[in-house]
This record gives sequence, C-alpha cells and structure tokens, in this order.
Amino acid sequence: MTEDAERPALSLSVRLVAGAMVWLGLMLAIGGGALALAFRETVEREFSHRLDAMLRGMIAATEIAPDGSVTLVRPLGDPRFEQVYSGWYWQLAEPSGRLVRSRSLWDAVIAPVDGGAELRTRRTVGPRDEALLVAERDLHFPGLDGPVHALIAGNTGEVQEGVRRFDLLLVSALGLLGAGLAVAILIQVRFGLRPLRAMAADLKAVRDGEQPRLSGHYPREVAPLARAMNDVLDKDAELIERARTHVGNLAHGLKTPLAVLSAEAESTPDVTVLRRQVQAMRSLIEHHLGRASAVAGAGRSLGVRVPVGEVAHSLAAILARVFVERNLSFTFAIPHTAWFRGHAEDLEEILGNLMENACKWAHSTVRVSAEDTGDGLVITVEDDGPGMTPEQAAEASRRGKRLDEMAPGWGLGLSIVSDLVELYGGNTAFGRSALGGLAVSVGFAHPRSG
Amino acid sequence: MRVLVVEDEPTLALRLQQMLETAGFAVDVAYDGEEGWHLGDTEPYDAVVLDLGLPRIDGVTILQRWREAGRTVPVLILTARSRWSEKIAGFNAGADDYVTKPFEMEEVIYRLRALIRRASGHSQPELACGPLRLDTNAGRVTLNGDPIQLTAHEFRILSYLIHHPGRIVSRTELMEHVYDRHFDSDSNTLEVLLGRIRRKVGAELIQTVRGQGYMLIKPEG
Repeated sequence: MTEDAERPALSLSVRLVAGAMVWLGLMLAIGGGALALAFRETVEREFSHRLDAMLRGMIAATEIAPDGSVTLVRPLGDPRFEQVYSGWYWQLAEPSGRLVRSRSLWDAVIAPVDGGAELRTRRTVGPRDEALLVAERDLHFPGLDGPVHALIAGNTGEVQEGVRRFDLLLVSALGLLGAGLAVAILIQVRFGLRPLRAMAADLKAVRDGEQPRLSGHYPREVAPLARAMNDVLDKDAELIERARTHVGNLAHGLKTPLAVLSAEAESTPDVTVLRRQVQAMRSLIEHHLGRASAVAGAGRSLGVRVPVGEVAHSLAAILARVFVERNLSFTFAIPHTAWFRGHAEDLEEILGNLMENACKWAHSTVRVSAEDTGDGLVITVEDDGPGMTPEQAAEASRRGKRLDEMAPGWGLGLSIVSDLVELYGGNTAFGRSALGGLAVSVGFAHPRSG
Repeated sequence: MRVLVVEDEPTLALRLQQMLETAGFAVDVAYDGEEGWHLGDTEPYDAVVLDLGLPRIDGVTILQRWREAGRTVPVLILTARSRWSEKIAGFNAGADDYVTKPFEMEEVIYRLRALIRRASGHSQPELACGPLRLDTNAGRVTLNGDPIQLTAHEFRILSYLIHHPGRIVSRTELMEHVYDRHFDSDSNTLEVLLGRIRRKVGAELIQTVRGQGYMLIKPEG
C-alpha cells in the first residue's frame, strides 16, 4: 500500500466547512471594506460641502473699506473660529499681502496657494500639526488691483474620529454576522452528512454480522451507492455460498475414493484399483478447481473485454509447439471486432481446452472462428479428426459431474469448458464440422446495456 | 542422456529420479530454486524437469533467467496449477512442454524423450542409423531388428551417439551427458564401456577419432 492510500482523504465535513468559511470570510471582508470606504467618502464629502458653505458665507460677509482694506463685516457663526488653535480657521489675503485672520489662527499663517476664481480644496497641516481640509478661492473686487485670496480650514480630526467609530461598529457587526453564519454552516453540514454517517454505521453492522445488507432508507444522492454496495454484498454472499458448496462437494466426493484406498491399503493393494481411484480423485479436483477459479469471472465484469483473435493466436503458437510432431496447421476466421466480455483467464481457459482437445484429435487442421452477431459472441473450434461424435462430446462435457464411468483424460477439458460457459450464462453446442471432425461452439449473449 | 530434475518435494523428486534412471537417463536432482538455477546454468543437460512452485526462486523466474542467458535446453514444466492462463505464463517464460500434477511417470518420461529427440533435430520417435534403431518411446535398441541387451550406462552412451550420428563427440561431452554429477568416473571406464558396446553392435560402427573423440558412422545414402 502506498502512503497516500493509508492516509484517509480530507473529511467531507472539513472540506465543506473550510470551503464555506473561507468564502464567507472573504465576502465579509470585501463587503466590510466597501462599506467603510463608502462611509468615509460620504463623510469627507459632507465635510467639504460644509467648508464650502462656510466659505460662501465668509465671502458674503467680506467687504472692501474705502481705503482698500478688506474686512469681515460680521463674524462667522461658529464660535470655534474665536477659540485659539481650535482647528477651525479663516484667512483673507489682500493683494498687498496684508492678512486678515480669524482669532483662532492667532499669529499663525496658512500658506495660500495661487489658484484662481474656482473653489478648490486641499489638505494641509495646521499650526498645531492638526490635519486640515482647506477650501479656498480668489475673489475680485472692483477697485482693487489684485485678487483677494479667501481661505477657510476645518479640522478633519473629528471626521476621522467618526469614521473610526463607524469602522469599529462595522467590524463588530460583521463579526457577529460571520459567527452566526459559521454556526449555521456547521449545523447544515452535520445535518447534510448525517445519511453518510448512518451508512457507515449500517456498514459496520454488516461487518459485525448483525445484518446481511444495508437496510437504511437513504436520500436520492447516496441511494445508488447503497444499492451498489448491496449488490456487491449479495454477490459476495452468493460467491461464498457457491465456494462453500464446492468445498463441500469436493470433500464429500473425495471421501469415496479415500475409503476405497484405505480399504485397499489394509489388504494387498491392487495397483489398478489404486490407479483408478487416484484418477477419480484427480478428475474431481480438476472439475471443482476449474469451477472455483472460474467463479471470479462469473460476475459479469463490466468494462472488461478481451480480443478473441489475440488469445487464439497465442494459444495456437503454444499448441503448435506441444504437438510439433503432428504438424498441425491452424486456420483462423476471427474478425477484429470479436471481443470476449469477461476475464482473459476465462477466455484462455475456454479456448485453451477446446483447442487442445481439437489438437488431440485432428489429422492436420484445427480451425478457430468467431463471430459477433450483434447480440452475442459465438466462438467455434473445429478439427478434421475422427475424434468424438457430437453425442460423445456432449456426454463427455457432462461427465465431469459424474464420478462413475469416468475414462481418464477423456473430456475433462470439455467439462471444464461447459461449466465455465454456463457460469458466463452462455451455452455450449456440439456438432459435425465441415472439416470432418468435431465442431464445438460456445455462445455468449452480450449483457444488455443500462 | 542427462537430465536435471528441479523439485522440492523429496518423495516426488526421489520417485522421478528412480523412474528416469530406470528409463535410461542420468539424473541430477535439485531441491530448491537456487540450486536448480545454478545447475541448469552451468551443466550441459539434455533436458530439464522443472517444478514451478519452488522455494527461494520460483520456476518461471529460473526459466526466464536461463533463456535470457541463452540456455536453450528443453524444459518440461511440472505444475499443480492447471489453468491455461498459468500454462501460457510458463510457455511465455520459455517452457517447451508441461505436465500437470498429479501426473503419470510414463507421461513425464514420454514427454522428456520427445523433447530431447526434437532438440537434436529428430521428429520421428524411432531413430535409425544404419542397422541400428533406437525406439525412443520404448527406450530400446535393435540391431538389424534384433533387440540388444545393454546395461544402463551402455544404453546412455549408445543413445547419445544415435541422437548425434555422423558427428565427432568428444570424450568430455560424452561423459558430461552420460554420468550424473555424483558419479565418480574416469575415462578408462568410458573406454571399457565403449569396448563392450562395440562388441555388441559391431566394432566398425563406432569410430575412435584420435585425440578428438568418437563418432557413430552414418551409412551412405
């Protein structure tokens, strides 16, 4: 076993929960970020609108004295302009360079920036290093030889404070929401996976022998799995039952020759009796062994198929070597489309026995042909020897099952073949070949698809 | 004819050895895969009886190793597994024939003789050389149709020569194919045995080629 196979794959719950959590976290973070950004932007825009309005108020209150000096005829409403270094300032710069400032600015100066008549805003720092948002524009008065630069600045600190409070609130709200959703996901996953846990418990009960198959009522998604599992269990039970029968039959079958042997051993052994009994035991073992090893292929193994031609050719190569003295020639009529739907070992067993039998009896030629009729595969092995009559062959194929009247080495192969074919749900037919000898045909119906 | 039996079941190995010796073979026995592989790799056997289920190295592997090393000795496989898929595996590894357990001793002997015959290029079970005839199936030699009585060693020598007629067989080659590895022999014994065979079949049939070995004369035509 590889290390990979030993370590169980990541559990379904972990997959589902981890996946949902990552997604949830990501979505909450993006949503929260967008909200915070939008809020900050709104607040800042509103702040700059306020400054803008204040600037307009200030401009309305600005007048030119007859001597050309600029004055603010009435104070701006906000008392913070009177408080020194409050963070709220205004400033008017005459063309001559003289400055008129709010009391709050005291003797500090906010450096004006040349711009024009349009309103603009910018950020800067105040006399106490506080962050300021400045709204400013140039004003033209008749009679003055230059523009008056009007400027108003507000402390953005209070805006930041608001944003921070909002962020805090947002994070805690989203956190709470996330936790709630996480709990919901956990519950959902546990609930959703409950049928699988039930199936595991069901399987454990099967393993412990408390019940023969899965009995639970399963949702649509896992019901096919349970059905497949049950099929496998049924098949297993059937195989075990069959194997048990075989072992029983074999053991019982062996008892008779053993009894004869032990009786012989007590008197003076008669070699012919010993030999006959040994042969009987041998045939019995071959017969049951053949069936037992064929059992593996008896279940229609889906998706397994073997090219008939390839197997027939390799068997012919071997048999040509074994029967080299006989100078046999093999002819084939096997289309490429002839596939045996089952295990290679079983086809090898069927064809091997048929071809070997044909070789034993043939004068000079053994012919192997196959045909896919559309709803089944028919394989025929013929020889040109005197061999068995079809009736004898049919009898021989049954003989494996009967211990009496057994001739050694005769038809044992045929009996194995007919057993195997039967296990595949096919049939074996014996006839006269056009070549002159025996023709054995084995037919298999294609499993219906779906 | 000298054969190697590789079989781990002692009783079966002993019976095989006895039967094969009775049938006129010189027999070496190996009881496990490693010994069997080594013997087959180093000694010039005429055939090998190889069990497939062996301790240490299994039969199929041994066979593959021999074939990869270019050993062409005919191999008869003994196997308890009678499925064709297993026979195919054996043949693919380089076997020449198979016998399924349980088997009849006569079957093994018959197949071995056929393998040896085929390996030396004879297709008929009866080998003839002038007035001499060797019936490989029966293990019997006749001269002008009359059976001749031969001891086991005499039979092996004559049988080897009849398998390779008209060819000079060196003294060493003859000894290697006539005696098993535990037989303590010297060339004088071989000389004596050849002398006896000559007396039985006629001295002119077996020629001594000075310094090279012996040759069974092949009649003209």
